[in-house]
Amino acid sequence: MTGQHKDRYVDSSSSSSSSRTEDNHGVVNAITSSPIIPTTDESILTASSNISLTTMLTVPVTKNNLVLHPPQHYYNPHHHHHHQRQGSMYDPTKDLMNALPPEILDHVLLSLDRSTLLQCSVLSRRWSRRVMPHLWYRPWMMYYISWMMLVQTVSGARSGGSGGNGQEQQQQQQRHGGLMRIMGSNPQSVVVGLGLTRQEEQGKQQDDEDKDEREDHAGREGGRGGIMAKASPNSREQRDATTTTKTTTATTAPSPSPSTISPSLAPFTYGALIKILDFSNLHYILSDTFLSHLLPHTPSLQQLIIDSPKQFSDDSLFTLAEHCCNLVRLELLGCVRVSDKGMEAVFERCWKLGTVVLSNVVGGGNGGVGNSSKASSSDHSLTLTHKTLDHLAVTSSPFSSKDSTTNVRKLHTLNLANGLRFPTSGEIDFDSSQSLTNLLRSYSTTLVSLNLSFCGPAVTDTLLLQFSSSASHRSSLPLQHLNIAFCFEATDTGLVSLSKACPDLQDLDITGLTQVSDKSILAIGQRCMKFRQLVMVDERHRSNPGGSVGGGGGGGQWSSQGPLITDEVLNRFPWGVRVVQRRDELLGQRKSPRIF
Amino acid sequence: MTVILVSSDNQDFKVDKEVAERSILIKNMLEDVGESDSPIPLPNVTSAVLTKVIEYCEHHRNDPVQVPEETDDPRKRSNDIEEWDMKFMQVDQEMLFEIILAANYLDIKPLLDVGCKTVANIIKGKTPEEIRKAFNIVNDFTPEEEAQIKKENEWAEDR
Repeated sequence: MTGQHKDRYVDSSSSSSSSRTEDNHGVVNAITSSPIIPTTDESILTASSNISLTTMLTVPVTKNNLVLHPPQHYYNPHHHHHHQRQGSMYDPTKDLMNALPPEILDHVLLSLDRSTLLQCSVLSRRWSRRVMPHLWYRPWMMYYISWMMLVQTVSGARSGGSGGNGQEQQQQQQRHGGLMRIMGSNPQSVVVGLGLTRQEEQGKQQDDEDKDEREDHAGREGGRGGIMAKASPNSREQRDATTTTKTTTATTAPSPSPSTISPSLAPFTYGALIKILDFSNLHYILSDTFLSHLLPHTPSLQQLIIDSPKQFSDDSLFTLAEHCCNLVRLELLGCVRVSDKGMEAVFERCWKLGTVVLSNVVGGGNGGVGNSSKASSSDHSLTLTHKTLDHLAVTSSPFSSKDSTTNVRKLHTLNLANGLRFPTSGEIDFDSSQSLTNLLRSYSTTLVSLNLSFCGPAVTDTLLLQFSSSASHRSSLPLQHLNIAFCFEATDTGLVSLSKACPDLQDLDITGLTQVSDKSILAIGQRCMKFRQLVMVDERHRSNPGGSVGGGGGGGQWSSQGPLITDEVLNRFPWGVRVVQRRDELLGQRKSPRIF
Repeated sequence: MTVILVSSDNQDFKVDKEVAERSILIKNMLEDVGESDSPIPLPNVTSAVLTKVIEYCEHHRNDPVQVPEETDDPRKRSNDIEEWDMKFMQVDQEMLFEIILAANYLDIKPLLDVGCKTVANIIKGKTPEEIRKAFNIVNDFTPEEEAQIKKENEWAEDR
C-alpha cells in the first residue's frame, strides 16, 4: 500500500497555491534559507512546492469553510492547544506518530525532500531507523559516486600509516571520516573499480534497483538492531582481535572521540545500509588495513566480492567474521594469501553463507576458467588446504545452536575452480579428495551450482558416485550447474550416476575430459529434462596454448584433447542443447574483465 | 442503491453504494456478499471519523479510479493537495491520524495519500525541535548521539 502513490492534484492546485505564496513572505524565507541541493532539479521543484503548501496550511480557516463542514472537525493552527474537541480523548502530550504503523510513516516520508528528511533523522531512534533508508536510497544518490574520492581516501590512509601513538589514534579517526565518505558515495553498494562513466550509464537500471532495495530495507528494518547486539566479544573474538589490532584500537578506544561511532548508534549509521561490496577490479587498493576500517561499519553486509587483491590475508577474514555475520555470498578470487584459519573463522561465524567462491586461491595457477587471469604467479606458499573444506563441511550444521533447523547453512553455490592444492601434479591427493567428498555430501541437498574445474585429481568417479548416492535415500539432488572441466579422473561411470541423482541438471562443463563419451550424454539426455548447455571447449581455439595452464595438474596433459562426444548424440536432444566450444562464448555471459 | 455502514460506536450511516465503494475494502466486501441489505460493521472506525470519511467519499464520488500501475518515482511525486482536500484535512491532529488510519483500514488510497501529505506538510520547514513539539516525539538520543547522526547524514546532502 505504501509503495504505490500518485498525485492527481498537480494541475488543479498549482494556480491557487502560487497566488497564495505571495501573501506570506515569512514562510518563503524560511524555506529558501534551508539547504537546497543545487544540482538536482527535483529537489528544487520539491522545495518550491513546499512554499505554497506550508503557506496554505497556515492560512486560517475562513467562514465559508465552516458553513460547509461540521465545525468540530476543523482546527485553527493558532489555537490548537487551547481548543480541544469536547469529549475527545485527545491527549496533547501523546506521541500520535508512534501509533501509526510503520508503512504509513514510510508513506509520509516518501513525500519529504532531503533537507527535511535530514531533520527527521535526528528526531528519535524510531524515526532515525525509518528515515535512514529514505535519506540514502533516493535515486539521485548514485550520481554522487566518487571514484576519485575513494582513491584519495585510501591513499591518504596509507600515507598516514606510521606515527606516534597519540598521533596515530588521531590519524585513524581521520581515516574513519574518510571511509564514511566512501560509504556515503553509494551506500547500497560500493561498486569500486568501475569508474564514473559506467555508473552513469547504468543510472536508469540502478534507479529500479534502488527502489527494490528501499522496499527490501523497509522490510528488513526490524532485524538490524539485533545484528549489532551480537557484538559482545567471546574468546574467539578476543583471539581474532589480537590479529586485527587496527580494528580494535578503533572500536574499543577507551575515550571515544566524537567521530567514533558508539556501538549503540551503529544501526543508525549508513554503514548499516551497505549490503554489497564488490571489489572485483580493485587489485591494488584493497588491503587488510582498508577492510579493517570498512568492515566494522557494515554489519548488514551480505555480499563481498574480492578479486586478485594485492594484499588480502587472514586478517581481513577475521574482521569479516567478527563484524559481518549476515554474509550470504563470499567470493574470493585469486586471494592467494588466505589460509585455513581465516576461512575457518568465516565459516564459523557467517551462518547465512549460501555462495562460496574460492577460485584461483592457489598461488601460481592461472585457470583461464573465466575468472581473473591476473592471479599472482609468484611462488607464495600455498596456504589453503583441504582443512578449509573440512571446516565448511563440519559447519554444515552448527553444534552450538539447539534449534538447528533454522540455523543450518544452506550452501547453494560452491566454486572451487583451481582452488585446491595438489602436492604433486597428477598424483591423487587423498586428503583433498576425502575432504571434498565429505563436503559435497554435507551439502548435497542444497547445492545448486558446483564448479570444480581444475580441481584435477581430487574429483574422481568415487566422489561423483558418493555425491550421487546422497540422492538414493532422499529425493533427487537439486544440482543444476556443474563444471568439472579438466578433472581428468572423472569418467562415464561418475557422470551416469550423477545424471540419475540430479534430474534438474541444466548445464555441464566437461572440457578436457578425455574419458567422457557419448554414454554420459545419453544418460543425461534420458533423465535430465532441463539440460540445455554442454561446454566442451576445444583447446585448439585457445590463443595461448600450453603456457597459461600451469600449476594445477601438469601442463601438457590437456593440450588439445577433449571429450569424445559425437554430433549424433547431441542431435538426439529434442529440445536442443547449446554446445559451447569456444571459451570467449562463455566469457560473454560472465562479467567481462575490466582494466583498472 | 444504498448500503448501511455501522461505526464502532454502533451508529448507522446510510450511504450510496457508489460512495461506499470508494473504499476498496467495502467494495470487495460487497462483491463477495452480493446483493444484501445487511449492514456492514466497521469496528475500527468511530462515528466521528466515519462522518469525515464519508464526507470525503461523497465529494470524490465521481473521481476516476486510480490507475494501479503508477510510478513510485519521488521525482514525479508532487506534494500539492487539492484545495478542497486541504480544507477537509484542517482538523486536529488526533482526527488527522484517525482519518489516516481509517483510510488505511478501509483502503481508500487517495484519502490516505492526502492524509500522509498533510502530515508531511506539517513536518516541512521545521527544525527537529519544532517537529518534536508538533508531534510530541520524545527524543531518546543523547545530544552527542544526535550530533553524530546529523554529522554523518550530512553526507547524504549535496556535496
